[in-house]
Amino acid sequence: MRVALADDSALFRAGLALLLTSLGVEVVAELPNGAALLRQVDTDLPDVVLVDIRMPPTFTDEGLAIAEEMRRRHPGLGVLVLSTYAESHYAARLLAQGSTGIGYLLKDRVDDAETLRDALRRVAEGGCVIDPEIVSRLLGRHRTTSALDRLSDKEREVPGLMAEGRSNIGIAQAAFISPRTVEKHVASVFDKLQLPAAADENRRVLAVLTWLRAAGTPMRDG
Amino acid sequence: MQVNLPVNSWPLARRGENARLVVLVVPAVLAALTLSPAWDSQPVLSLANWIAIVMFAMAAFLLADEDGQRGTGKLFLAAAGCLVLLTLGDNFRVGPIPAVAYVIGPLVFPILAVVSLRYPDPRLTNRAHRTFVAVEVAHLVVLRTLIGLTSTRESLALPSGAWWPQVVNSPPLNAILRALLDGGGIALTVIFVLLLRRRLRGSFALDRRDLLPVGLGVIAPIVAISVDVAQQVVPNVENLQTVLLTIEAVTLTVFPLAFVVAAVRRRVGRSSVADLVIRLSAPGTVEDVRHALRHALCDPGLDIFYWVPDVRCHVTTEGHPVEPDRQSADQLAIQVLTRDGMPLAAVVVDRSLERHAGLLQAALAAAGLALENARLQASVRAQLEEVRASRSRIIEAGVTERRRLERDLHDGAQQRLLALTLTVGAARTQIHDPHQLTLIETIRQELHCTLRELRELAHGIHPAVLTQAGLGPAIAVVAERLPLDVEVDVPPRRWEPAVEATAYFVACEALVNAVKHSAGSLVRVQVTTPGGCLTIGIEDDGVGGADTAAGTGLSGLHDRVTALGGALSVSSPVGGGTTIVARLPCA
Repeated sequence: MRVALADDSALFRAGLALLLTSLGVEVVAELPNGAALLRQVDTDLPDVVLVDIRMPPTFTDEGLAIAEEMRRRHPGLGVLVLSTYAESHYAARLLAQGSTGIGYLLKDRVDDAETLRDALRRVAEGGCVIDPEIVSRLLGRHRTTSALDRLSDKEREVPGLMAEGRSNIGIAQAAFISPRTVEKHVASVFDKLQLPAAADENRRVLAVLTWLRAAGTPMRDG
Repeated sequence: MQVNLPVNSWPLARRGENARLVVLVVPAVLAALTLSPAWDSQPVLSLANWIAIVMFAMAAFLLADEDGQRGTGKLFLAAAGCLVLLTLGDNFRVGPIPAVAYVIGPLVFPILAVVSLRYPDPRLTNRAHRTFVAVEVAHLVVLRTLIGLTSTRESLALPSGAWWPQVVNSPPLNAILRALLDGGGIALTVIFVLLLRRRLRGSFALDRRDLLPVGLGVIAPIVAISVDVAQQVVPNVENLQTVLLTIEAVTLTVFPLAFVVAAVRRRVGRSSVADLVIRLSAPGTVEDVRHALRHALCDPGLDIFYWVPDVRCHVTTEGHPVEPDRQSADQLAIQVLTRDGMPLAAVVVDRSLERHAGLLQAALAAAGLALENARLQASVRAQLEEVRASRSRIIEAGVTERRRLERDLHDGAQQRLLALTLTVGAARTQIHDPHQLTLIETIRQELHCTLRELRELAHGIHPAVLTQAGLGPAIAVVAERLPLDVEVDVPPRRWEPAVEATAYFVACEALVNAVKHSAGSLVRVQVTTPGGCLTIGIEDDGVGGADTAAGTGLSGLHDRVTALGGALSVSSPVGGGTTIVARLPCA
């Protein structure tokens, strides 16, 4: 697998490149900002890019804009956004761009070789990866009224696990229930969230988005 | 106490009252004498004529006392003279008197036109107005002279003792000249009405009050012309002629009467200065002094800017620094000095008060001591304002510093430690010895604990999400971690960093208190922006009855909020939930 990465901290770039190399991943470029990453990706398309969310010049959410631009230019490219802080509204804004080949992980999550390898693989294959801390925070969050209130406790776990990018089998393993039960829950979730009977994968994305939005995450600019 | 105004508007030397009484008495006596032959035969008309003359003299007398209006006073005196001359011509038909009165007497109308078209300015500046007056004078003098030269003594029913300059006896020519005089008179009256209407329309609202008497000036020539025409149309019945002439005299009285009323009102206005002295004799606030001066000078836009020597600048009633605009077209900034000649205040008034300089000077002199007292209060307010501004700057500097600290932690220690975790992670992939793996895992755990603590520390100093995404997302992040339902309603916009940070910390403190003490299940956080303010309200549905006085972290927040010029209020009735509202002004 070939990856390019962008982070304004030289130390972090070096550490990440070291870890990726030790995993057998080919690091084709280590760049200090998003503009340089865009140029690099345009000339030599990797499988996945890893991009820091907070970079120059404004040190706010450049990573999100860069991610959107790269996905627009190169639809098949996997984009994994890294962040120092767990910020659910950034995750929601990222997912609003679409939920294929995209990921949002905390920087202190990626030191685990297996997690990193797994995330890269899923993003490269067009999957969606959301940091478990964000997922658990949104799941644990109290709500007032939302479409999700119509779901049973067990059903409510489903969109959260979907949001982590898991398949039905994966959800079954994580929730310690049978794949058959998962299918039943998923169908019930789609039904209760009134999601149109389109392609299954599309409905999964919509379920995740509904869940993120219902969690009260502001989907606003700035 | 001194008042500095442009010198030319301060004629301090005034003629004595007695000297001016001549202006009133002489025309009154002269008119009584010239009217004396007619008192018995036509008492009503004579009285009406006498009153008209006295009223012109009265207007002259009163205006002679007013700055910038002496010229108008002289014109009224001249008008009174013309009227005396007319009555003289009517009642003393000897020598050249009737002829002179016939030509000169009617000049009273151009005089009224001049007053109407220029008042309250001291001269006729408008070219059209000057032309009109010149034409009217020429029209009257030339035509009446020509009519005189072509009229026979008999046609005028003059006694033999009267001198009349008849040169040509031509009734047709005489008729043509008389038609020209009347027709021209009507045309000039129409033009005069139009000129006056344009003048009143173009005047400013403030001046319109002054111009009210001028509007009445229009009536006199219209009635005079109408009477002239009527005299020729109606049969020559003596009683009817007398009635018409009486109407003319009464109408003529209206014009000077309007000026007399206006002048008397101004004198009454001056007595409001006496009220001012009484009103300001008791110690008052800066607002009281301003209110009293506004009332006395009938200028609701009047303002006082006090000179504060410590800070070497003027301050408003509220204590804000201000620089009086001395170049303003509509306002006049008057520098008021203390008794020692030091700057005391700048009083800004409407420029129209320049014409009432006497009133202005009297009012400011009366307010002198009160202004000096009020300045002490204004100085204290200015100092308080300065303290508030400096507290606000300290808060802002604190927020800037906290943002910088968070950024330094993020870019420095946090990235360094994160890089270290990655290096350790890379090392772990190369190690297979169980003992070494345990060691590496311990290092990793410790690194993660350190990172977590560092992250909490940085977040506590200044949450990055607040800088990056604003108040709404920052409060949402806090709400996510709380074990109760939180509704967050914040407009998606940005405010100044200090305002955002203060609102954020108020929300955090209120949310933490709600979790700890309210025993409620729902909290609403709502931000609204009424009138340029940021108002954040945090309302829970808990038990209420919170001790708002002591022990809560709210007292520190109260200081921060007030330092920014805002206000924090807590309402917590027993059983009614707790509502905390912070109002923060935004620049």
